[in-house]
Amino acid sequence: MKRLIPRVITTAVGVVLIVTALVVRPEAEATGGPLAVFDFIDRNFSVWFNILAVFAFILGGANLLRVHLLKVVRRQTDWAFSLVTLVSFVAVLVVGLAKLGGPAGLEGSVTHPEAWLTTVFDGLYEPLMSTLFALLAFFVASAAYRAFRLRSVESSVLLVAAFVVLLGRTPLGTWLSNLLPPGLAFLRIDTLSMWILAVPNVAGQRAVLIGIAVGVIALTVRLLAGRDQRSGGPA
Amino acid sequence: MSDPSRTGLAERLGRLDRRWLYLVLLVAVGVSVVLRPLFPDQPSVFVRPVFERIERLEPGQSVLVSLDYSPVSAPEIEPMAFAITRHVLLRGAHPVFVTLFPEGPAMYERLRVEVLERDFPELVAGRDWTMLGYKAGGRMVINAMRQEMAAMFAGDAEGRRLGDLPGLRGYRRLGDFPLVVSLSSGTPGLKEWILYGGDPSGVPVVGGCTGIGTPEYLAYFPSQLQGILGGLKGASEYEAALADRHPGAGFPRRAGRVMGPQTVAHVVILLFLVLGNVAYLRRPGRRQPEERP
Repeated sequence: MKRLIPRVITTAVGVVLIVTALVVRPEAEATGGPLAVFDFIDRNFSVWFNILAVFAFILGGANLLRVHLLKVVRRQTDWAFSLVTLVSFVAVLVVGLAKLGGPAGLEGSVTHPEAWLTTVFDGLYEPLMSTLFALLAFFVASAAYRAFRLRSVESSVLLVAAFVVLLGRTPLGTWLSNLLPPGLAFLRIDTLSMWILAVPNVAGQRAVLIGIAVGVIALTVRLLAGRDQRSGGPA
Repeated sequence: MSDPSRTGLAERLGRLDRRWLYLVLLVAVGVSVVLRPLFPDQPSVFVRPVFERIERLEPGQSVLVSLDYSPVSAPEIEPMAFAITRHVLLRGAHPVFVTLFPEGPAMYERLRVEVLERDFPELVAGRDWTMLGYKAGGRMVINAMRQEMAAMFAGDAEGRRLGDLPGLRGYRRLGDFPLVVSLSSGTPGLKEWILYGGDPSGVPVVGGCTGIGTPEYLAYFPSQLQGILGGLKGASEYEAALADRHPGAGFPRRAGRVMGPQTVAHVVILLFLVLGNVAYLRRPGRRQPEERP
């Protein structure tokens, strides 16, 4: 029973939603009779999902508090970092929920320029995130220098493609290409860069997307048939 | 026999301390940040459809602009949001902002202060542009908007009722919009707007994304995704097209100015890429073709 009920709910909801997506029906206003039920399902399932998504925030926050509180109380490895997480979490939560600093108090906007949450966002969150992201440039440069080598035919193709795209996505690529005589226009770096992005890249991306889609269909069929072990199906 | 001076240089290059690399990159980018050169640019085949779509908007039409990015990707995506908002307002159209990112409302605040209030002081929030706010749920928010906007948003972010917003008069669902613009740095974002918004409702979708995300989204171009601004370069191309078509507007070219440091960073990386391979190909002990058994 413990496994059967979730499986029946999953299968029933899944089948109803698939049928809703596949049934072709006119504009919502004109729909009447038996087809109206599909509009009702389509509209309300999305809203119900969003209500659940809001609760996920509460669950996520509660889980974060529990995990880090336990770590601090038990003095586990790196408990000091957990303490920083807890203090930051609670402080920002209070500042945001109470809308501190804003001229209109609880009636006002949490993103008002004078609100403390805006100060936290502009003065802490944004510079920290920007700094972390900016450091990537140094890691990419170092990784390119040490790892991007002409070791094999495949790595050479990858290296040449990276070289062309990197150069082609800058004004320097266009400037260098302008030095080419008209007869060699097909060698323009910006044109080659666009070709790499639009042809071999798209072919590979679409192949991956189609492969993923087929995999998702197979997984969905297993779920709906109650055959997926992780969802309570038979072992 | 290999030349000892050459192998010595190769060895030194191979053992180069990475801190030298960091220093060269820092100095090169620092100098270009100070000098702020502005390079000429023109829209590519990916950017031009976005520009032309917005250029064809009729005065009074509303465009849904989804600000799905955070401060991490703001240096790349924010210039797109600024340029597209300026373009929409220049055409006399009405941008309707929404966000699927929790950080989105703060990103909108910057847009409001730096573009809407500074460049268009005569325009009024709620009357000339609308901010619907943030909703959790990602793809399901789009799905509900496809059915009915009111199912997700009772009013705008400042509490005005949906029925009182002039920009949403006659726009009951997603399919009523002539265009959806998603400026996206990940999930939920551009992909969700294509799959759950554009495809089922038929509304044209264009977008902007980080440079690293561009190859993934190009798989949907040009039918499901009608145009895309890829990274800072895409934003710079859009700004150049805007300056070219509307020379009197005189908007700052924020992405164009940052293309200088990015170009320098790319060139430094390419230079070290070449040096790294020279060191690799000339390192002692590497078997030459004639030595192969």
